[in-house]
Amino acid sequence: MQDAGKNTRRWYWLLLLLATWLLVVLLAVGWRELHPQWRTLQRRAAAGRQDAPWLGMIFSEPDCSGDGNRCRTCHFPGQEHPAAMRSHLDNQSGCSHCHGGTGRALVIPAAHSLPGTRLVDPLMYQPFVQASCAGCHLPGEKPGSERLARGAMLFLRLGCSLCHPLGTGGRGGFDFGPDLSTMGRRSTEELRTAIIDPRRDFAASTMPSFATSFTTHPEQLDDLLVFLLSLSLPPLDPGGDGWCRSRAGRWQGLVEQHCSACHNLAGRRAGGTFRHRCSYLLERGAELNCSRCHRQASSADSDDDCPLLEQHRRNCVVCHRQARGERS
Amino acid sequence: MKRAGPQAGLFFHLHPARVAASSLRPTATLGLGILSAVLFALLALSGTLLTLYYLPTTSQAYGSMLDIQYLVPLGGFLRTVHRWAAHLMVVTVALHLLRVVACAAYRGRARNWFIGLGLGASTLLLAFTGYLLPWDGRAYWAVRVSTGMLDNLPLAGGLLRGLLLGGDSVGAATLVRFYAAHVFFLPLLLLLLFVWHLWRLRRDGGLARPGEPEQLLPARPHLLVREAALALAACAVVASAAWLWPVELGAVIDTVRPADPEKAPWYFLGVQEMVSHSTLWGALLVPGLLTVFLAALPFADGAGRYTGVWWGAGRRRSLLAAVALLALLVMATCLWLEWRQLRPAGIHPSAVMTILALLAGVAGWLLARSRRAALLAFFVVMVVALGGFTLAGWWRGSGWRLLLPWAG
Repeated sequence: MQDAGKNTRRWYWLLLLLATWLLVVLLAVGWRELHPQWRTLQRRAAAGRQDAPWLGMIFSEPDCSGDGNRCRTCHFPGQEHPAAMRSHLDNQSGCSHCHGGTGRALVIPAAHSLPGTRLVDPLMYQPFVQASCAGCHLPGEKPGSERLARGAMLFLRLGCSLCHPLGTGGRGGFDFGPDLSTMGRRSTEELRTAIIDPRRDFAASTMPSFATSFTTHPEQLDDLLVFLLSLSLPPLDPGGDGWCRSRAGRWQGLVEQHCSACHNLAGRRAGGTFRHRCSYLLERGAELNCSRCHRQASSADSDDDCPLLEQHRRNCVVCHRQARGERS
Repeated sequence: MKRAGPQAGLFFHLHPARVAASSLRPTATLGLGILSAVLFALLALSGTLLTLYYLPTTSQAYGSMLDIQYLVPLGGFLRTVHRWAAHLMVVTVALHLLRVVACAAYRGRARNWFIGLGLGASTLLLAFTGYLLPWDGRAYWAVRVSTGMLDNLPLAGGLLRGLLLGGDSVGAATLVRFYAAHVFFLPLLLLLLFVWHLWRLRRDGGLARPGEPEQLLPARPHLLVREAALALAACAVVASAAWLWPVELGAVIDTVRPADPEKAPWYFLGVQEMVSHSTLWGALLVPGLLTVFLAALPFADGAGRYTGVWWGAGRRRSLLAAVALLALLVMATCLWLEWRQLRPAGIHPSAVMTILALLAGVAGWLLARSRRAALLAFFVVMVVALGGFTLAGWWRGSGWRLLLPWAG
């Protein structure tokens, strides 16, 4: 009985120790809760200012895809955009549908989807933020989207749309590749791998490697990535009011008129020269049975235009019947 | 001193009036039962607060989790507490089962043993249903992988999977179903089983111990101060873990492309690892054998000496230690072969370890002439195997290659 009594007294001391430990931890938690990162950033920005009505407030607004945005809690209006972009701020349409990231978050790593978090959003960084321009503008139409325009031209020049057609309604063309507009937002590493080494992440892939296309100008791969990211922009919420709704209608039109990726000069004229590199088609000539209609083919190594182009006298509509709204 | 009699108040009435001195020693039970109960209370409290903000629809779940994490005062802390307490509870419940088997505390208490198994299953189901609720990529794919393994069960596998998922695939129906189970049905079941478990414990005469007569001490204060200390310890550990290692939300759900590799929650990783070698052994034979073992245990070893004593008679400890060491060596060899990718095609580690366990059981019977020794030897090898497979599953990397953290 006395042994048990002595033991129990020891347990009372342990109880006190544990209670102290718990109290200290809870105090630490409370302290951190009372001093969140956004409050510190706001206080720093308010120092020296006469008027800071936003101090201590969480600023919340919906963006055009219907998600909540709290970016302006830390990013005060007017501070961040370059002068040419200031008109975007008047729209009160949130930040994340152009800049990506996690709009509802209030700590820097999560809000910006930094590397090291589980969240992924390449649109947070230049040049990839230019992909968002395609949500409302034709590529290259506005200053600041030049890399998007170059990416769009690369997409055609390299023949990507032969297997990854841009039209809606699923696959078309030769039915080799998935519809890129349904793949969702991918990280730039994943996209780079998919272009340079397609079989690394997906062993059954029949996509050829395009590594040799970027050896002379590696920065062009980033241009292409900007365009690819523009294909996976979140749909605008047509139920939004005013500015969002008007932009939503425009986005719908653009999706259907994928021709506008290239036909972006004044008067909807196409810009640049497009060379249909058919090396991929020629390699699969036997499988596609091209010789049934095309008796003469250029060699796979040549840089000449695809024989189809010559045969059909540059009548694009023969292949690109999607332009008329029909499936090819 | 007045002898302690029937206690007033529900809380004290659920407790025994008197407790044996030997049961109060920390090494008797390691306090695992009390820890599990305290963690459940913590989970119930934090979970109730979370239900005030969480929205169980596919369009709103992730957003509501973000709001809890960043907008709601103490929301992030509560959510992390809930997650850490959940993982810790699965661990303490599993260790509690190990302790009961090691002490042969199931002897003469078959009903309470099965109630305990029901509690264990409820805990696992609660953890699993809760895992899906954040509705991020990690949650979605973990549930998809885990329920995919159910298809391997004959006859009822597809039906069970359809029942769990509310359809063919993880979707809106699944989320609602899991939410209802997690928030209402399973906690209710667990609470009822828990009360029954405590009551059966009282009916069976308290914690299992050798039959020698010994002094009984009043539960107030001797048992209660130890309970309070364990409760505070659990809270302090969970709060510290939540403060040091806050849990992050995963990426937005992507039903098209999983990360490489996608894994089940850690408590099912062992099964996933075994299934990756062989569905027959991993999904059927090993779980089936373990289920049969657990169900038959109180009948196969219904009575004997050294009840309530860890591992039984003194001599037996060296036998069991040798068995454990052998199991560890074989497991390590299997893992090494797996790492070097030298494993012969037809030889499955799960088969190897199961056969070793059965042989250990036979050896235990032959060497110690006791059913308890045989059962314990089998059990020790299976525990080492499950632990090893869980570790292997944890270390699997891209392409399901085994990547040791220190060697790659």
